[in-house]
Amino acid sequence: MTEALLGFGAIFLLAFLRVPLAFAMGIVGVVGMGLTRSWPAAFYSTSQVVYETGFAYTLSVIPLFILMGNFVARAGLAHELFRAAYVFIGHLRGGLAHATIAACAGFGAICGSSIATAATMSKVAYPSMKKLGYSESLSTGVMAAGGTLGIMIPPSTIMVIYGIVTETNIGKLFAAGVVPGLLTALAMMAAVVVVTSRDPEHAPPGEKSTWSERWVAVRGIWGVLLLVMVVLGGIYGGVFTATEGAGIGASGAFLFALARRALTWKSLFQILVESARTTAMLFTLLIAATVFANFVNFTSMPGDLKEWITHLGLSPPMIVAAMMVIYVLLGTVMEELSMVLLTIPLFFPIVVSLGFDPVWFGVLIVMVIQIGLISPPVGMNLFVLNTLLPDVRLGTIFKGVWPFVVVQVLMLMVLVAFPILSLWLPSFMD
Amino acid sequence: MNRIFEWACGALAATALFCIMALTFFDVGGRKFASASIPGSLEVTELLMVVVIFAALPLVSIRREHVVFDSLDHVLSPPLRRVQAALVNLVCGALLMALAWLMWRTAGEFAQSGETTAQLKLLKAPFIYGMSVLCGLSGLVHLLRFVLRRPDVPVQPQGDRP
Repeated sequence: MTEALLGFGAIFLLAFLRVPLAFAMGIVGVVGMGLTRSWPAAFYSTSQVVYETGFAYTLSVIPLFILMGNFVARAGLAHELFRAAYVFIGHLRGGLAHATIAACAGFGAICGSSIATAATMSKVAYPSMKKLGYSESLSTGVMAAGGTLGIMIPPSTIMVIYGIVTETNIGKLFAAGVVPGLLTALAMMAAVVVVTSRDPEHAPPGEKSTWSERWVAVRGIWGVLLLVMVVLGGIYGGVFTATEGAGIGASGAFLFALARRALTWKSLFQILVESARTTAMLFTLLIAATVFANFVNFTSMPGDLKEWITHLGLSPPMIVAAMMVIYVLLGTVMEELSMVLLTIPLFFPIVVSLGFDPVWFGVLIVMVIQIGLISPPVGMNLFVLNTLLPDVRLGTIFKGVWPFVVVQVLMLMVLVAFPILSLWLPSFMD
Repeated sequence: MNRIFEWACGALAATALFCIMALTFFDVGGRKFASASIPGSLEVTELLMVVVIFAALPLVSIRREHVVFDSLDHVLSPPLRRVQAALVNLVCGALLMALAWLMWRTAGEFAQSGETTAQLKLLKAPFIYGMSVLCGLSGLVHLLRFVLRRPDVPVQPQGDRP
């Protein structure tokens, strides 16, 4: 127990000293195992982890889904998604904010990254909102929050990583995210309604569109719809695995971008390299987290913790609720993916031994990450918008995002209380 | 020099990634519609994954895209931050060099046993040597930064973070 606690302490210390988290986890994992077992064993298991993570067919799902999102972003489909949402709901009060959320949900069905979704929307939706006189706080808040739908609505990079680390079926995780994702989108729209009814002049309605305009806009997104149906439908229906689906999706998105003449040799190269870089960054984290988890699993900590928790005599739902509180608090100050990778070796065995469904817990994990991504002071989506929109102050973004943080925390409670919301769709996959 | 290196790593990773995509597409398409898959496509994907990850690794280091906890940056004075950055580069460089050595040793073992992939009988050792070399090059990026005392400006991580 003590060794593992010292290990966690050392990681936080190194991280505070600005050592990249992957390196901190890797160093502590190897040194910890070297000291508690033996150095040859530590070296052997580390090289084994690097080798096995590198040579892994199923893990090609990660770069392929990243690639799919980047191709689609390049093809400019986000504009059409936003336009399609706008022609239907833009004339309502706060209509552009609603349309932004809807477009984020749509974009989230092709892109598995929260940051990429928020970043794309800042180019697509922000100019329109600014033109109509939306307040900076509402428009940035809605983009930051809407962006997080990218990881709940499948495909989702976070779900893939959770699935790999915990050996949970990725297809089921994807299916489990659909209902919570759509509910979260609706809850965010409700938050927009509340905010705009208190402060109507900050979100003037747009013009009402005619049905022929609507028809044109819908025709603009048929390609996205087709791609989503084939990829997600194929995975859900068991036609192909998540990895195969990712390959089909990336190829489809590539052909799509090609057909729209959105690709040059240069931009193709850029997209591929950018996707590869993201992949390498994620794999460094994944390898380091596995090395660290191997060390933690060798110590008595997971067992001790399980025993301690059973001793407390809390009811299982209370235990999960307590974990969620820890995650939400940690998420305000920590980078979310590393937070999850660090804690999974401890929390996941407990959750499973309590008899809970790993798929449900995966959805909860995604939700706490969503909250962490937009909760000040350390929320990555907020920083990204701050970088992309330099004239908006960070404080303004913080102010605008609060209602959405509250909504997401409420959504988390709902998902904890009603597992059926997450587990209903995957239940048809057996 | 720097540019050529970045381009070479990028080209390697980009080509491998594009091949994985195309390979999966034709393999799955062939299996579903023509009941003929591409032999050995799984293991080729595995080998290509190694290329994607490790060829892009130096680029992640060059662009400072590793996830860092930077909330304390505003607390430290600029000179202190420079010292800190130098030390961090030393630690990262040393770790990557150590990993390069470890993988070189592993590659040696694979070379000796002559282990190949199951279907196409491709030797695995060259790919593990490649892992090692690219790890070493990534380590070199950090060590060069340490030696040259290149100010490590904290930049906002860009790209497709989840």
